[in-house]
Amino acid sequence: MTASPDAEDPRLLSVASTIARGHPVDWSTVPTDPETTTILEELRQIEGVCQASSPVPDAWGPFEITGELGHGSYGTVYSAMDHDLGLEIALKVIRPGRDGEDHDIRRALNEARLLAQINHANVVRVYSAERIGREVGIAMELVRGRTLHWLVRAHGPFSASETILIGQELCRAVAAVHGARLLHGDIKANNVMRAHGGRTVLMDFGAGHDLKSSPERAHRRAAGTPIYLAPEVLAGAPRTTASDIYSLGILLFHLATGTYPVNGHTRDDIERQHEAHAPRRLLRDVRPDLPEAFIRVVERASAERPEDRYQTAGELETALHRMSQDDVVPDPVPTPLRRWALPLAAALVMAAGAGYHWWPSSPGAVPAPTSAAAVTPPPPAVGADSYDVEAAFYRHQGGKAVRLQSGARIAPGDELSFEIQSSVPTYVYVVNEDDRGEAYLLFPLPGQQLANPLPPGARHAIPGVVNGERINWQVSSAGGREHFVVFASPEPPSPAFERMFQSLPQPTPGAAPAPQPLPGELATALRGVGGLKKAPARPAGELMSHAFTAPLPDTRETARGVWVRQLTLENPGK
Amino acid sequence: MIGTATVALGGLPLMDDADHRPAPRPVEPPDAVATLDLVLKARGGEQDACDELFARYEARLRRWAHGRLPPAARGALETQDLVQETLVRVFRQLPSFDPRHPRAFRDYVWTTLWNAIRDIARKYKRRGPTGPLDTDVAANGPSPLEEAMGREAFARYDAAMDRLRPEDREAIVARVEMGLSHVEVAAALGKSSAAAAHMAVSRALMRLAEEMAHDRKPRR
Ligand SMILES: Nc1ncnc2c1ncn2[C@@H]1O[C@H](COP(=O)(O)OP(=O)(O)O)[C@@H](O)[C@H]1O
Ligand SMILES: [Mg+2]
Repeated sequence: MTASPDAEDPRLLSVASTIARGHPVDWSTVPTDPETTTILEELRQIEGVCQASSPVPDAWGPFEITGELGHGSYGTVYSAMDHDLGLEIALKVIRPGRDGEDHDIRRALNEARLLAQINHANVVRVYSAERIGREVGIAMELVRGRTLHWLVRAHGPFSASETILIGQELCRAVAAVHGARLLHGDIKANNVMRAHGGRTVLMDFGAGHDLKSSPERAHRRAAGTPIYLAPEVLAGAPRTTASDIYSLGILLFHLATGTYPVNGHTRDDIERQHEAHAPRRLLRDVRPDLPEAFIRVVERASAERPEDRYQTAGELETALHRMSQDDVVPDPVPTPLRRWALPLAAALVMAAGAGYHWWPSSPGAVPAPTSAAAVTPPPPAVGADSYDVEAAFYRHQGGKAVRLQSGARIAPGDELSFEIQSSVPTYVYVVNEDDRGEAYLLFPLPGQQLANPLPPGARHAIPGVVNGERINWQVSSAGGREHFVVFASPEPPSPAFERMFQSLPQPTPGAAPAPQPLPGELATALRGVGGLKKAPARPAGELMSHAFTAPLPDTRETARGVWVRQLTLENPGK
Repeated sequence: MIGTATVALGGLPLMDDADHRPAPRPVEPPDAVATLDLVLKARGGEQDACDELFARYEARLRRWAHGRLPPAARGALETQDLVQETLVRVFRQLPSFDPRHPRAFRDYVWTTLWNAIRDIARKYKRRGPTGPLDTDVAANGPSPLEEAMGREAFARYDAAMDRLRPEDREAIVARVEMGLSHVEVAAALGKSSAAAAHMAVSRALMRLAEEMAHDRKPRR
């Protein structure tokens, strides 16, 4: 099919271009001639469709809109490019409904004003607010990540230690909010994002209030989400810092369980249950595996009577902190709770296209899922090629080894080691990565007595003996978070993979290597998009450890194909 | 006594602010390739990958389907079944393809989705007075697209869409029926920039209008 001459008609093209932008065409200025009338008539029909489907606009004010991030009750949040700052931002555009126009505009400007008063790493940063016609746009820091709501829905509940870490960061955020004498008013899983890199970010101050400018009044129908609203607020009392803390408690409950302590679909339902003091769902019934101390903290934060709650966010943070300090937070996260298993299996299929596959001579072979994804239907033929594997990281203290759980704290000077045991000969690779994406290969290294494949049936200590000396790793400096990613496979990796592992900087006894970002190539290939992405530059904040989110369990697992697990430790250096 | 090797875990002290400042970077078309990865996982039967795909595309596909379904079908749409089923079916039945040619893959997915969404629409249309939906007076009511154009014009639109080259149709579905941004359209169509995507959509719209006009002329 060839393009007809009409397809090049600049007048027609200009009309089509306006329609494609979603802008209205001023038909009175479109010149018509007999040649083009019919086509113009059809374009006019098409314009109607375009406007009915309201496509994402190309721009708002000075910002180029790149996509839609979310949709809330009051507006749409876009990703957008601020070309002046050279920065991609999040742009929340509030379009007032027909009724309550002024109210919505005031609410939007209020949200921006509240945000502008807070400068905290765990609160979304606002750049500017602008009013154009009947719309208000709030330009914010673009948080690359997911809402906690999404994470719970997609991956299942969080482990106790992850919940504690997120809870602590949220407490800091809320302490900053309350410290500025503001109320948030709508703390919930939908309004908190977890950025790639692990930072927790509180957002959406649409229901917020500035206590400095006016005392909070009692509202018959306070803004906020009923299931998160404190009982006294539902009953009509003014909102307080204690009602924000209640919402935090409900959020922690939700993170650990995926459910809520109170059932009910409507506001009235929920209010009635509070009034009747109906029995609540108990955390210890839903997650009997959680540490008792954690259960008590959550219960206290979400206590029915405001006076029974923690009085400040700082108090709640201290309680959570005490638990995370505990060396051995009992945190038997049952693997089924975290269903995100086996990223590499699929990754490797993709990698095959780029010449990277684990198995040198099996193009297209699809490794079966490991049985670790226990919640998902079991893979068709588990059995023949499955193997058992167990691994753990340890900190050495006064001659004792403490097994490290995800979220445990480490500090400069600490000595660490790793152990792994498998039922078959196994090729093992251990990589350390920090939040900046700087990475090292920890195993295998030249001079190490152990070499791949590791023999089956025995526990292997890593780094083990190096150049005739028994060695541990020592933490030499502080730096936020440390991620350890462990790869194990009964099959040797392809030379290409092996080369990439070997291209990582390697520590040698007694000397710190120059830190170096993980080669984008490696991350890209491992993530399974090798060779397909034109510019394999790794976006800032996107780490290998985020591609592999399955946590290292504290029990043996049955695996097939490549087994990848990761462990995150806190290394704040305080 | 054990010896120790020094391993610098982390380099500089972490400064919250400096570390979290979003790094400037050019606008990058999102997701195009990561999607392939997800689709592959979904094919492998991984529940999470399916979940993620739904999270990513449900809203858009829902919007697309919404525009094309008569009001009676929308109840079913709200229950998520239609969109979810469609997605599962499409992604599960993907033939094997060569990941070195994302283009072929893309065309396949678009075409399959196009057919799937229109099948749903047709199915609901066909359930005339004898169908299981006959209690619903609105069963044969117009879809929003139909309503926006009128029945006759929509019939021409739809028939013309069918005759377009796949890439023109993809451009129109992505921008007009799904409402994606031009940056996203660029990613979906493999265009180098939003401007190129906009140009592709504009030209596709012109060809669509011509095709539609074709159908109209003989009847004059
Ligand atoms: N700064 C941001 N960065 C990235 N995504 C965001 C940002 N702000 C909002 N979002 C996304 O948009 C959704 C709605 O934003 P929110 O501020 O909660 O709006 P609403 O007041 O309508 O609920 C959020 O759940 C999130 O997914
Ligand atoms: Mg919100």
